Amino acid sequence: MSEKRTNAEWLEALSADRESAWAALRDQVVRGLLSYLRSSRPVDVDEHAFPALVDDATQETLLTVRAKLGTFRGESRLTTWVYRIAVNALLTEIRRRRWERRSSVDPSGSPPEWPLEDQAPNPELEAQQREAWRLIKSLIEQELTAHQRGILLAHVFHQKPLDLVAADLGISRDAVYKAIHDARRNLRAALLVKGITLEATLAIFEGKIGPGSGI
Amino acid sequence: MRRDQFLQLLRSIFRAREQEMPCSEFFELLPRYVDVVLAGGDPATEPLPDVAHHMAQCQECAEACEALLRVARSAE
Repeated sequence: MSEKRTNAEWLEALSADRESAWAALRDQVVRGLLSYLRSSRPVDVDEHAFPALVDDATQETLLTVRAKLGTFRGESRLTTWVYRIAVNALLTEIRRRRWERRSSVDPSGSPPEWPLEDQAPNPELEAQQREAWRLIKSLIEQELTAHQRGILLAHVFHQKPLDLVAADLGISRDAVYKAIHDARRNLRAALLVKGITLEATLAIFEGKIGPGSGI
Repeated sequence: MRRDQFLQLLRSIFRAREQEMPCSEFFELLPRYVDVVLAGGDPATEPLPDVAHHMAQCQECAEACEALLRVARSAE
């Protein structure tokens, strides 16, 4: 069973370095992470790898908690704060493995000629989707800085994890997110100037348009 | 790129605000947000509205929230 302690009790016990408190916290983290992995079954992670993955994430979590316990502001349950650190450690590792097995970024730094894995169900719709994509592609090429474009392509189009994009560029994750945000804002402004709405673009790519319509 | 990911990109472009919360701030607020959800409360009534917007814009942070809810539910 889990330890039902108050934040004050946890803080007092962990700060005093009581072995029983650290062991209880460790058990709760392990239980939570294992349960998450078994229920979510992330692709590219073999079930046999779950215990080692959880063990590594738990170890990293407890080290972080030891180092940062003094920064806990008491705005949540202490255990939820700890689980957030654990989830971050686990997901970072899962994303890193997924990326290593799967992907690469097109070194050309250009948007793809066609971004989707599939095709439209009929030739007319496909022609409209390709025309719409050509416009969006040209805006990506013309309206974004090389920095914004490179990060947007790496993370959004090639699904490279934010932390890995940040590490490779030697910048923070927040700086990566800011570049993506700025890219979206620039694209939004450029699309709106051309009178193109979300509804129109979604209708085309969801295939909910009638003959002769387009953007 | 899967079609649902592309549609998400289109939505995120049109949802973009002038100012958005960075991931680091989201991670600071996430435990409080999850506690409110787990207690059956409505995060929208808490001073946490930008958390939901950030999750709509950042798939990794949305995945982290989903994972944290599951971990917190099953760990205790």
